[in-house]
This record gives sequence, structure tokens and C-alpha cells, in this order.
Amino acid sequence: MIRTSLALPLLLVASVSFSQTTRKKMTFGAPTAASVAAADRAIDASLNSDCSEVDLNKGINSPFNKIPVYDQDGSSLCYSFATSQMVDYYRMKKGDKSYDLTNPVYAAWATYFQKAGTGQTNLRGGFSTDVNKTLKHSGVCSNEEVKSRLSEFTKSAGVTEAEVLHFLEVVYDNYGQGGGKNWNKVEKTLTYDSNISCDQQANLKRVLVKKGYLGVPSTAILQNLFKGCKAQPVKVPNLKEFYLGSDLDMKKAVDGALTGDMPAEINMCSVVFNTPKARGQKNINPTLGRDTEGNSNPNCGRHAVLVTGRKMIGGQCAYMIRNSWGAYWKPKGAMTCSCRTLKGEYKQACNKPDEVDEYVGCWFDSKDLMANVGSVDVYQ
Amino acid sequence: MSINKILLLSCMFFTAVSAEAACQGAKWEVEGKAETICYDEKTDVRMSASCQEKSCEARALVEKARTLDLKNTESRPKNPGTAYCNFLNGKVVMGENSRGSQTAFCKASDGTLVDLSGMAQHASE
Repeated sequence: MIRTSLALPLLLVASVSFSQTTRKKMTFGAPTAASVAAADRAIDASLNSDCSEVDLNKGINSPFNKIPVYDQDGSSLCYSFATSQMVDYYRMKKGDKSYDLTNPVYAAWATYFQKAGTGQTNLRGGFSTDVNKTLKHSGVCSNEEVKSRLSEFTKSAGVTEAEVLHFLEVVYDNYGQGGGKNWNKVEKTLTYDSNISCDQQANLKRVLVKKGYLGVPSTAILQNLFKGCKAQPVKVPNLKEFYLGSDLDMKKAVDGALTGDMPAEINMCSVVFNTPKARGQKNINPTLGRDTEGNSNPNCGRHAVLVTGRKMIGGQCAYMIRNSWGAYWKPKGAMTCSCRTLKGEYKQACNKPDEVDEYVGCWFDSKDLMANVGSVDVYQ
Repeated sequence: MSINKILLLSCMFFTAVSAEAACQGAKWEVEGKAETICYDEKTDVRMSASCQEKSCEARALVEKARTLDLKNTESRPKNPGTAYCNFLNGKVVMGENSRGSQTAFCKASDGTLVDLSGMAQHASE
């Protein structure tokens, strides 16, 4: 993918000049264990600085009161779930009520459709900048309309739109063109990597057969289902992407968004959710993006989420992550989690599990989180 | 009204009140049905409200999951609870609440539900 942010060369230059300055200083003598430890402490201190409290979930007017906590299941659409929420947050914050919600499955499909002709037959993985650009350019079919058009599938099996899409993709891979019409492989794959049971698969298959879609690419099926849908204009700025530099550069990019009362989208190593001391990023080659394969450890578990808050917890700067892994997501590595209570109130630290209606995000140590961030996308 | 009837009615009333007080419960729609999910202190997992009052299969699934160690070798991020639910012959179902938020549950053979991610967390402890 080609990245277009004008700010990136500047960031690269800044990063290189910093490391050159450091190297010049080092020629005065070999680094001692004490000097290395001092340098580490200085970096730690920087990652702990500028931590005034921001919580975009607070207040009755927070757009997050109206944006659901999603569960993407095995669909690999994290990039689209995160960007759709960025879009909705921005729109609602600006008072735009022209349509209800941006449906992440529609957003992923529209993004693919903009790139029609590339031979792509699935929507797995993608860039938030592409999704945002597509929605700005082509508009979006309302969430209500998308749900209605996919309802024959969702209601037949009691699954979400993301699960329908994942089902269609796996069917095409294993039953469609080149897939050898192997339904056993479809069942095996779906049972292994999703929440779609065999009964649900059978119900979804019945709808596919009835509509004559068995073995057709998911993108073509969705194109047919979304035909004639009235596109609502999406009025959002472009996303600016930061993917070079140090952990501190990633923190600064996130802080820039939060200071403007906007969330930041981060592409990160999800391994940190349960293992705080894990370091999914390697940053061996500083001229390559932090999120490239060469700069990530194999256990990284690449994922896209939103950062929606910042505050000090127990003397450590912490950031709040809004995920798309369901309303009860509360990983072991989190310092604390925020929730909406059964009384409908937002609570920043939910220590009584019996009062939780849904968790809206969890807080992670700045140092651990930033060491696992591959890139940051913010509104310009 | 006989004393016995009065005692029975009082007993039923207090049982209902105490069950409600024990669990206010989160409301979810699962497979077109309204479900109440409560936090279970004993297992630290959320499950069907009915499990608060009597034994249920959802609780049995959590207990069984505790004895398992299923390595998740899938490279794409997904809910690890799926592996436990499938292994224990439960059925994974998606719930949606009034805000449109979503979460996955494991449905046991008696129809009771357990929070999928909580079940996995419990299993790996």
C-alpha cells in the first residue's frame, strides 16, 4: 500500500537527526550499564509525561454513548470497525445527524469496491486511511439499511453482519472458484476461526443456495445486496498516519488527537492485552514502517483499535483502548476497565463486576502500550 | 386463608425478592430471545440469571473449561473462548443489547448462557 501523509518525511528526518545526535555523543566513550539505564529511565519518564486527564467517554453528550461496543468475531475487519467508529465519533461530535451509524461491514466492502479491478476477492485486512477516504468519496448506506439488506442471512442463523461476511469469504475460498467445492473445509475453517457453529453454517448455506450465491465472491454478493442503496454523504477530514519513529513519537501522535478531543486509531500488537511486558514491535529498521512485518515479532497479533482516554493510574500514565471484541472484553493485562453500569451511568473504574452492563474500554500502561504500537491515525 | 398458604406465599415472595436483589442482570437479545445475564461471584464469569438459583449447564461448562488447556494457534485475533465452547460441545451465539452492542456467549445444552471471553479467561488462569 502507498502511504501519502506529508508529515511522514518530516517525522523521519526528525527521527534520524535524533539518532545521529545520540550516536555523536556516544563517541566520547563506550556506554556503561549506568548510562544505558539512565537513558532508559529518561525514555520511561517521557512516556509518563504529558498525562493530563482526557476521557472521551465522559459526559452525557459523548458520542460514545451512542456508538455500540462491537464484536467483530473472526472477520479480520478490525481496521474497518475502528475507522467506522472514528467516523461516527467525528460526525456526532460535530452535530451531524444525517444518518445513524457507519456499518463496519459496509465500510469494508465499499473500500474494496473502490479498488475493484485489483483482483481482490475478500475484505480481510486493510488500511484505515483507505476506509476513511472511501467513505468521504462515496458516502455510506445507513446502518439500518445495511442491517435490513443482510437480514435474511443474519436472522436465518442469529449471526452478526461481520459473521455473514466472514462466512461468505470462507465459502468462496473453499467452495468457490479454485476452492475445490470442499464443504468439509468450509466447516472446519469456520469452526476453527470463528463463532459460527455448524448449525448456523447450514442455515446460512440454505440462504446462499436459495439466492443462487453459492461459490460467488463475497464482494460480488454484497454488491448485489447493496444495489440501489441511497448513499449518505460522510463529512470527515482526511486521516493523517504516523508510522515511523520511536515509542515516544507514537505517544505524541496519540496525544495530539486526544488534546483535540478526538480519538486516535492505532495499529498495534494485541499480545500486550494479556501480557503487558510483551514487546510485539522490534523497530530493527527505523526507515521502514513500525507496522511492517520486518519490524514486528511473530507473536504480535496485529490489530486495530481506538484510543479514547488518557490519565495517571498509580503514578503511571495510562491510555484507554476501545476494542471490537465484545462488550465483556476485560483482558488480564489491563490496569482497570471502564464501563456503563446497569443504571446506565458511565464509570471510569469499574471494580464491582455485578454492576457492569457493558465494558467500554480498558486502560493500559503508556510504556507497555506504545512499545506495541505500529502506527497511529488521527484526523487532520 | 390457612396459615400454611400464608407461609407459602410469604416464602415465594421473599425468594423472588432475594433473587432479584442478588442479580439485577444485563439484558441481551440472543437468537431472538430476551436473556438476563448476571455476574457470578463464585466463578468470576457472567452467566444466565437462572444459574444464580439452581445448578445449570453453563456453570458446569466453566468448571470443565478450568481443567482444559487449549493452545490457540490461530494467528488472526479472535475470541479464544470459541475453542473452549466448541471443545465442550457448547454452541457459540452472539448477543445484542438495546444499545446495539454485541458480545458472544457459549450456550449449554440446557439453554443457559456463559460469557465466552470470561470463560476463556477463567480457563487460562
